[in-house]
Amino acid sequence: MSHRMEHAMTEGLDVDMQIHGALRAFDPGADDPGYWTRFGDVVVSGATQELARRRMLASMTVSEVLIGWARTLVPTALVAAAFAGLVLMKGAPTQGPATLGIEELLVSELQGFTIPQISSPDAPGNPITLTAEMF
Amino acid sequence: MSSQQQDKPTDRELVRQAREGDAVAFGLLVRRYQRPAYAVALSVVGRHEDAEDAAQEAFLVALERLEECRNPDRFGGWLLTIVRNRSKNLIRRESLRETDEVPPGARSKMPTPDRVTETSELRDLLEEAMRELPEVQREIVMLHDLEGWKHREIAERLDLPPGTVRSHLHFARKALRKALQDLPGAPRAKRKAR
Repeated sequence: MSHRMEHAMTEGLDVDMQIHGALRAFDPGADDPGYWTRFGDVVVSGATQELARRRMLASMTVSEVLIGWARTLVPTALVAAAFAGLVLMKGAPTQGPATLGIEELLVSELQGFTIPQISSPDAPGNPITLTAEMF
Repeated sequence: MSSQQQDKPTDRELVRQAREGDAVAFGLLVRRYQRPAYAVALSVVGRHEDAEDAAQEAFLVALERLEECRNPDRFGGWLLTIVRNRSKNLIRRESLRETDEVPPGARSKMPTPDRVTETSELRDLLEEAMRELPEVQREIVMLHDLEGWKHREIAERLDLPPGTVRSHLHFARKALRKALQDLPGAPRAKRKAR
């Protein structure tokens, strides 16, 4: 190996050692020996909940998982059914106006009304209102 | 391989145990990768506090998504990808690149006065030179020269061909050497004076 090459390599090595030394300044643990222990502790303590969730899942058997699901699903389904029942009962037509087609109107009987009453739209108590025309 | 190395649990084992909520296994994974995670975060965000936040958050995200780690033997590489993404998100959120930040070394926890005097000029130069490097080269230099990872390990974990790692390291060091040679009292100057 020539002297020049050796010199260049030594020089490179010196500078790399210098780079290495300078890079150590980027290591927060270089001046604070407890830094990395604290760093790890912060991460692990931040993960406590997730780890507990995973432990719980891992310890559960298939039947426990199903029971767990049922525990959540059954009350939810009951509440949903009750709510749907209420909505249906509330939404059920009570004594609203009946809607009839023209053909039905022609053949159905409207008790208690005379023809003049029905044919006069402005008459009080006229049970017929033209709501839509469909062709 | 030494018996100590043989006894060391593999990433696959630790990942499997951590998936079941084993805090000790997760703690070991954290201890194993906290320094490289921080180094990668620092090479992206450039600030100690942000690098610390990004690296710590990345571990928690990794735990939550542990089922997505398809190859637990390569947990390290998978984790570093999360670290990189978290760090980039952090930059996006805080627009760090638009601000003139204090060099990361200067923000390291409580450096002693002697150490500051010895290395501050060198560190400033290095910091400046590092900023000029592409992100991937910064990561490789940090992982190789600070964390002591070998070319092969870096290649595996960054999912790069080993030749590319060597080439990035070569160019990064060349740039850093050039920056350091401009420093008064650098090795070349000393030799010339002899």
